[in-house]
Amino acid sequence: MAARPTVTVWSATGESSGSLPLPAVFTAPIRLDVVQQVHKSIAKNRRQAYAVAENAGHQTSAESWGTGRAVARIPRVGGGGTQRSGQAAFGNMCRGGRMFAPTKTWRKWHVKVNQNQRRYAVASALAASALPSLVLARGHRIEQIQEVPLVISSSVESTTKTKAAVDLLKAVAAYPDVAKVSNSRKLRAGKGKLRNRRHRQRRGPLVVYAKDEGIVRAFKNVPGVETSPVESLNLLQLAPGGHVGRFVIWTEGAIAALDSVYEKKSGFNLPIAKIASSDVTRLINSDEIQSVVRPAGQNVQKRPFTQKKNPLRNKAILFRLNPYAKTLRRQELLRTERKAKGSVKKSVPGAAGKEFLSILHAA
Amino acid sequence: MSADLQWLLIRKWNSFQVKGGHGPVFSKEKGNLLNKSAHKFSGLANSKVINIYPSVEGGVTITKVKADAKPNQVASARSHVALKRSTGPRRANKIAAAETAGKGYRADLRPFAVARASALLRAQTRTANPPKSYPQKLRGNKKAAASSSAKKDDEDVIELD
Repeated sequence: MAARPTVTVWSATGESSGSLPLPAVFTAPIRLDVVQQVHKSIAKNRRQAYAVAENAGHQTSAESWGTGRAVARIPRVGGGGTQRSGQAAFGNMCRGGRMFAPTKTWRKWHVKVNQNQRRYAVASALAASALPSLVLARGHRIEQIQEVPLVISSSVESTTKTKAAVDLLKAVAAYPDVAKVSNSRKLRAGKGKLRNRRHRQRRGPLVVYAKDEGIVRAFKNVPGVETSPVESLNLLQLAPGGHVGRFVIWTEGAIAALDSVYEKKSGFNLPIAKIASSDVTRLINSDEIQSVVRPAGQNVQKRPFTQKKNPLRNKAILFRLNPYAKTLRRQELLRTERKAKGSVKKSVPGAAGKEFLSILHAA
Repeated sequence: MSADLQWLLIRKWNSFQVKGGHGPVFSKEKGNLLNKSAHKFSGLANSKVINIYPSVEGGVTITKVKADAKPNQVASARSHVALKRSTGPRRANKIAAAETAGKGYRADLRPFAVARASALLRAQTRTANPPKSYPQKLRGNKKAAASSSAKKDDEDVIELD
């Protein structure tokens, strides 16, 4: 596949208005394993601590009755006059007891991910966002847009009105993806409804800008659309759920700054694909391979269109497989023939020798 | 990025896949002639894809990827051939075969393209004498219940009168 040296820049009305060189990060190798691993870990860093109450299940003065009362030695609530007295307490197997291994707020909630792994994952996710098939495979409705990555002139960064933002999305044919989000809005199952997560919906396009001159607020109320500055791209937005291929809309300034953003990351070199060409057909048909492979021989048909024969029963098949079997068979036939004629030397043992018998009887 | 590598990336999970548990895995993306999850039929991970689908106003449209399309183009990379409503099945099949094998596009997809075009047209045929639909015959308790309720209605009507 040909290299993609340039990307077209589209104006706010949807006409092409120049082009830019494609940033190097878009040619990074797409490593799903890296993206998934890093996503799994950094998704945990937003968790809120939770735990059961410190004293849950321990707010009773229960004591064991000891042996001899024909009941288990579990601590029991003392006293009388209430249902609770005499009931077992404390244990995780008891009604009203504490849970097994009560959860603590000092659980390890955060997972450290090496910085260069995070950078690798973001680079991979960016590269995937530049391939139409991967963006489609993530479920974004991009059939009508002109090009991926979709770059819009920097004037949109000063958009302040949501109406203008929606018009822009319509002009570049990115609106079907927003419509998909609107249609997908569903009531969340479970308690999340009560916890400020009432609805669930798909993710729409991610708008990446260089300088916020109102673009963030303009896009804030468009369903599913998220915004991100180019300096702090987030894997959780670039690969939601660990699935690469987010539909990213870039402003011209953002995509122009992308190379310098990566140059500024000290100690990080953009990952390079291990092989230059991953097109298997092309590799097989290349001169280098074709010059060393053996020429194709005749087609060997393993099973001709006949019934399979059993070589143990079918002599012809047997002799084809084991030519010596023919000799064996011939010898056997000759032997039986000789036997039938009576010409076979009789080797029936006669009477035992005199010497043998003398030794035998001497014992 | 080659089609082979793209297929490896979308093979295990993509939004079009239909994994029904047991049996074959299907895929409902555009350009998948058999709707089967396989590299050969994938409408995503192939540089040459043929999509055969019913037009809105009847007939069939065939969409292909242009030969000079750049890999980052999306809408402008596709060319369309629209067959009119009046196109007969044999002609549609011939066009489907020509668009795949005849023009050296995807000869391996010819039988599937022909089958899909044919099936789409068959689904669009309108018969002069559509089969009559009869109400389901009721038996036993249901019949009795239906007749009694009908009687009741009759009585109600009489009362109203």
